[in-house]
Amino acid sequence: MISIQDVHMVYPGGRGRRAVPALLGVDLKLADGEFVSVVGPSGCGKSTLLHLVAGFGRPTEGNILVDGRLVRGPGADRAVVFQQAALYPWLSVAENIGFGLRIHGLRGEEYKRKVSDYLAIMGLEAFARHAPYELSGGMRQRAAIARALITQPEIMLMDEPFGALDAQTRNEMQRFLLRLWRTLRPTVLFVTHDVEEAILLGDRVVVMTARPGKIAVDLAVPFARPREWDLVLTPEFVEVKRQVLSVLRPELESAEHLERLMSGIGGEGELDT
Amino acid sequence: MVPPARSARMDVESASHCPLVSACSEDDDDLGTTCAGGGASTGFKRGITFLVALTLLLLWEALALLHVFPAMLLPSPITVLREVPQLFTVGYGGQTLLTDIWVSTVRIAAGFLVAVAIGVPLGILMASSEIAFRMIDPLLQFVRPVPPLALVPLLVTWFGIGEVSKGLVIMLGTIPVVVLNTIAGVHGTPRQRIRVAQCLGATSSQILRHVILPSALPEILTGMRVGIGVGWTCLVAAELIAATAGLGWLVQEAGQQLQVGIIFIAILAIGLIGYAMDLAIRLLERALVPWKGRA
Repeated sequence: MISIQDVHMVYPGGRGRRAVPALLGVDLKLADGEFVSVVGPSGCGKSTLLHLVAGFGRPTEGNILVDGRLVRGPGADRAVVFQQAALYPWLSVAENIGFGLRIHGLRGEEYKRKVSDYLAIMGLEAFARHAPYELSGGMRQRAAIARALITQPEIMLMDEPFGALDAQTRNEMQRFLLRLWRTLRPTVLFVTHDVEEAILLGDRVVVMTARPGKIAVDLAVPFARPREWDLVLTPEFVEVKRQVLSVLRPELESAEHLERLMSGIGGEGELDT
Repeated sequence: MVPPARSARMDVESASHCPLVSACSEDDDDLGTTCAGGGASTGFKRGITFLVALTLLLLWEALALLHVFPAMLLPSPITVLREVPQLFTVGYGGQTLLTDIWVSTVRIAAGFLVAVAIGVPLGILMASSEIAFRMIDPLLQFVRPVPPLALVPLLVTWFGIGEVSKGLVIMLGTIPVVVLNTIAGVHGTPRQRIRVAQCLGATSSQILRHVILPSALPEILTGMRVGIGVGWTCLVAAELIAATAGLGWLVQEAGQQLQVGIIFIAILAIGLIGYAMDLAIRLLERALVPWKGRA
């Protein structure tokens, strides 16, 4: 269980730059095995929030607890998948997937078995010995997901994981992630700027306001699982999407307004991405 | 578990993303012809290197034949070539050319290896500790602009004209380059690569070994490549000043006797060995960091 309690985050200024407030009192709870999507205008601090849960920084104020323990740094209980796969180019695809196991000293038969299991799950068997740069974007991201999941973390933090993929690959990856999640049931915090994706995947959709970010609305997604991609075409889905957008639209506009105000000051985006 | 995802389509995907498959194979006719033209000109470009070399040799021969300089000062390439076998068998100044090549090569190899063995760990230390950086960096920045040659008289005074002073000259030239590139490589490690390892529970020493070092390797190799060139220059120059053997010494010795042909041969050997060393490190690069520029 993840418990985010009144978290504030201010990036310190300096050398003529103003301090940038990124988060303004965020409260959020994720139950075990829950899939929560976070959407918001760019620069609203949604990635910052995810990074704080990952332990890449400490909030200026407030606490983040995972299973009752304060987050003090990154740990193997919280896997992170970034927008860029960030695979290690000096390792083969299989070695990348097995990286976490090796870190923990796993060798031999069990190592091989687990790696080939995950290669199979990801449909990457044929590419086990390939170098990461020989893979397509979608395949790379699947390998990155496998690398994150192989140590069986209870929590998966996904920071716009499909944002860099083309539309069709993104659809495939969404379906793929849904299947994977149904099997492994990790708790997922999924940051995206794609409203449709957020609704399709999440148990809840959390909409954040423009910077400094706080939670504007926390919406339960009413659709039963398993969900198929054509769900997005139903009137019910469109209605939920309309709800989310009605909250998000004004925020997008005020984000644009803010952007105009900030231009020239050099306070671009989330500093921590 | 989930069935493997649609491998047939994936094959196609991977092919189009494979860096070996260039734009030639998949794009329209227009591009195809452009590429074919490019292929033909590649052969021409390669030929041009030989053409230039040949032209220079002919120019040299012409200059010699025209007696722009007296024959003793500018022997023709053919005269020089005739001297080569004798240099290998009888030698000059008491030792054969092979001995001089051997002496210089062993010096650069040993000096370079020690320089890398010192420079890489030093660079990693300086990149990971600000205190170490602030202690060592000013020293490096001070030593770097001083031509190692200027230090040769000092080194000879302290260590004689033996191998120690040669090794030190090479190291003075090479270590700063290796250190600075190592630091750049370590600092250039993409943050996400480190974060990925942290999230998998890696300790900082595991991150150093398994993430930062391999990430820095391309830069380290670049440092080695530049460094060995600098080291070679320093060594030959040091041999010119104070030595009893080596290619630099041979140039100096032949110069004093006005044996211009031998000077030419020694210089040729110096250049070729430098070129070969550069090539060797480039091969090492290709073997160790095939991902360079691709990821």
